[in-house]
Amino acid sequence: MGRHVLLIEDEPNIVEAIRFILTRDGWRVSTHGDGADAVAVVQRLRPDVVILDVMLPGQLGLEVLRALRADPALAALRVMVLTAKGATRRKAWGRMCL
Amino acid sequence: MPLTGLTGSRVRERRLAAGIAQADLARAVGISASYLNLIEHNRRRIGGAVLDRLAAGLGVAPALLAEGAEGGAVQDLRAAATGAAAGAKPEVDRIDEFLGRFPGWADVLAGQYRRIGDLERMVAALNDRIGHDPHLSQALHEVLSAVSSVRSTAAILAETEDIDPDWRARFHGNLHMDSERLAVGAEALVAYLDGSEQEADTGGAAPQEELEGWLAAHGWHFAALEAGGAGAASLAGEIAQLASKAARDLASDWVRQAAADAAALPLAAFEAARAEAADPWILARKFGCDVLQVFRRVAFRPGAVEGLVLCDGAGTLLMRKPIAGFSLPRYGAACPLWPLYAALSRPMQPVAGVVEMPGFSRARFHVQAFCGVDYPAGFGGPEVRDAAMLIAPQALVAAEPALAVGTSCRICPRGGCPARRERSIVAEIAF
Repeated sequence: MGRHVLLIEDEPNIVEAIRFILTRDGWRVSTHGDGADAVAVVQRLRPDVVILDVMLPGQLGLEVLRALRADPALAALRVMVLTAKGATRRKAWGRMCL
Repeated sequence: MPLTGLTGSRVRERRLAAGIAQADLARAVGISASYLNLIEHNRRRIGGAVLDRLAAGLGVAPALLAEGAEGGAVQDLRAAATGAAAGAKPEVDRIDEFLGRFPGWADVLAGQYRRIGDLERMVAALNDRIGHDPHLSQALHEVLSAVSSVRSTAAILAETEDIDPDWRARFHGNLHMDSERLAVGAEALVAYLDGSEQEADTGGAAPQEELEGWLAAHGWHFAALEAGGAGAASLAGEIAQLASKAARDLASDWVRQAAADAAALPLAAFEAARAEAADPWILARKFGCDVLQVFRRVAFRPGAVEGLVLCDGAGTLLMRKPIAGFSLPRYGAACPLWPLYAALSRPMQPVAGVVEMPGFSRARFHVQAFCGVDYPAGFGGPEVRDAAMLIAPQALVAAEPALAVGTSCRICPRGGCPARRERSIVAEIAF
């Protein structure tokens, strides 16, 4: 697996923190702060891993996740979801989307 | 039949409790002892004069003997029995006996049942609010985001030993920024929750019920709003006393509208015109106003006996001024057979008729319904419908056929009703 990660997150300070950690660990980190066109960015950059903030405003995180999973060309893509809630309910819908 | 057998049983219970012999009571009331015996065993229906004389002979209010006064309690007790915990076996077939022998306890039970219903609705509303309130969810999101940011940044500072001084300064700056944000977000959240606590403090009553309770306490009329009165502003202090903001807003709207109605239909002239022709349409023509305004003026004039219900385009009841014998649903949807809904589907056309309520008294009412339409945003905007039904008592012996209606399906005893939408919790009788 390659080491290119795309971080989809709208909080600049969280982006900075994660970018710092992953870069030190040898990853190439791209970031994108807007959920609205996130799917197009993934399709263009073709990262090996996507880290997606599912708490993006307006249910955007959930929609992005669904759209990514609906695209057969992205079947091999690994998606990690980022959430501050960690509730079982979120885990449940995360599984539902996969 | 439990629902209809009540009045006679009550007479018997009261007579025995008072220690009066059947023959003595019959003589006092001016009927034969055998007839009273039939009444007491619910073999004869009574109403009107005989009921009044029996009540006088027993020293109780006629309403106490009449089924109307108990009907609500019977329905609430039946509903309470239906919702009882599994394993509980309330003696539903003996509700009459229970009511007759322990009227005080029955009141307590029925009152608690209603209170539970109110509280359940309040819990559902609060639950819904927490689940779907966009402000709350936004405020929580803001706080959670700031917390996540602080946590990741702090973890980096704590766990990275050889961190570059430039990066370290940057993360310190970020920490400072996020902690400021967290403080502001937490304050906003606390302020919001404080506010919602006040809003919810209405003692369980919906704002509409609160308004109706306030209006009923004033006889649905304010002399201040009539010509020469102190005006709508003089009621501001009263309105401020209402518990919820929603009820205060409703009350302000009601007062504003009532003042406009009073100005458009001055009381003396309106009463004089009504004595000539009471038809709402004719009155509306005469005064150059709309039919709904006439309905409201009739129902909200001083000492009016008429009941009035108002609904919006979805059929949701917005205002319920009660009239004795015509039970209005406490909440939820009403009987779909009400002429109110016929009018709602045929805007601008008058609908009138005689309706009969179920139950022992078979009370009849003359109702007039009308639906107005408005386009507040003009030609391109949505159509807004407002319907109203004016309910007036009808003489007991009416030759004309009456439309059999009810209050609401859930508490309606009419079996085989073609318009029924849900099962009744009371025993169904022939439609």
